[in-house]
Amino acid sequence: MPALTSAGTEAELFAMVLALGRERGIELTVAELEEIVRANRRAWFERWLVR
Amino acid sequence: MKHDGWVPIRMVGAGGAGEAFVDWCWLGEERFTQPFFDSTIEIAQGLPFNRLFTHRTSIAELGAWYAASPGMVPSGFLFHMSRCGSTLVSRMLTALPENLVISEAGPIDLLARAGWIPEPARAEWLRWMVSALGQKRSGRETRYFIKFDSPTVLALPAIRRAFPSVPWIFLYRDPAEVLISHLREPAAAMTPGLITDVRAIDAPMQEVVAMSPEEYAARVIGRICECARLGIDGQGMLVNYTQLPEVVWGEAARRFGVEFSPDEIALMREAALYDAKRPRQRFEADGEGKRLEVSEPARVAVTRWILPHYEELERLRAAAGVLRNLGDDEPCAGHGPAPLLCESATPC
Repeated sequence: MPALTSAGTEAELFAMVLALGRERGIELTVAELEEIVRANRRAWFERWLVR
Repeated sequence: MKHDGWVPIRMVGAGGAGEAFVDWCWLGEERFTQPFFDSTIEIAQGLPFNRLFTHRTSIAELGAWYAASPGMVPSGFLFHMSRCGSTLVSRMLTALPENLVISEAGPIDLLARAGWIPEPARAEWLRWMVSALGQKRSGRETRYFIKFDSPTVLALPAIRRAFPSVPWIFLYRDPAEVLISHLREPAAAMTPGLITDVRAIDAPMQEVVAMSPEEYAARVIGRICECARLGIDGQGMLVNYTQLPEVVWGEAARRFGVEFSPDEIALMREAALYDAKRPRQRFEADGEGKRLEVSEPARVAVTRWILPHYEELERLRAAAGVLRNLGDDEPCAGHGPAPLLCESATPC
């Protein structure tokens, strides 16, 4: 499997992450990953605002 | 842990009593090619990987990375008055793949100015941060330059203590042109009442917010020039905007111990043709337009708060030029600055 850092799109990255999770017995969903991205984006904006 | 390809982008908790942390961003082998550190990081933050994965470590991890993989030793530091061509200088240096140029990186400026962190931790953390950002990116880099945010020159003594052997330059420009630029588009540090980590003016907040934009910005700019003047030593060099761009591959390069090839100079000349902050636009000199905009309050503020320091910088620069022509710009052994600049009471 190529490195996660090489993913060109979010869909490609999510597919790799879900596959890696399954290999390790962790069942993730696309919705969960999307929520992580949203939370990270919010945190990023908040940190800029208080910088 | 190995941090190859990762760069520290932010300090978290360095202002409080608790533990300090570092946020990292995956950059791979990408070079810092944008006018500012933050611009490169913002592009990297758009990568799918960085949108999904965030990475935070303790400051100790930065120290472990410093021990395991020391970055390049800085070839030179660039301090400046602001709005005076410093971004042009960093763009010219960035044009060469052999140069790693970190331009106004928040984590470096924050640690440099963090007077609330006791020594020697502050100097140590600063060295760790400079090392982490000084990792080779493409593998071709042989030189490492750091351009600081303009108010960071207030922390010049602390930076010199942490990096005593790194040569540095201070770039400055006609004070009226700089002030007009800030009145057109104020920077945070030049805006009265806007709280940043920099306390450039020693006055109560009530007094600060009552100041006109002209007076406040002029006092901050004047203080920046004063700090450069007070900090000048044998490793430092003063550069006026009027000396650009040739000084970059001339006297400044010699100060940094660097010799640029004719091909490298051609690349830097090309970079100097474009607007440093808007690299797709050709550069157009705007000094005359700015001078025509000087109002009476701006003129008064320049004369009172900046001009005395500017004139002193010019005097020191002229004296250093005389020394270079005499072939003697070695530091005075007893006092630091070169003999003609040394103002110590005892003779050199």
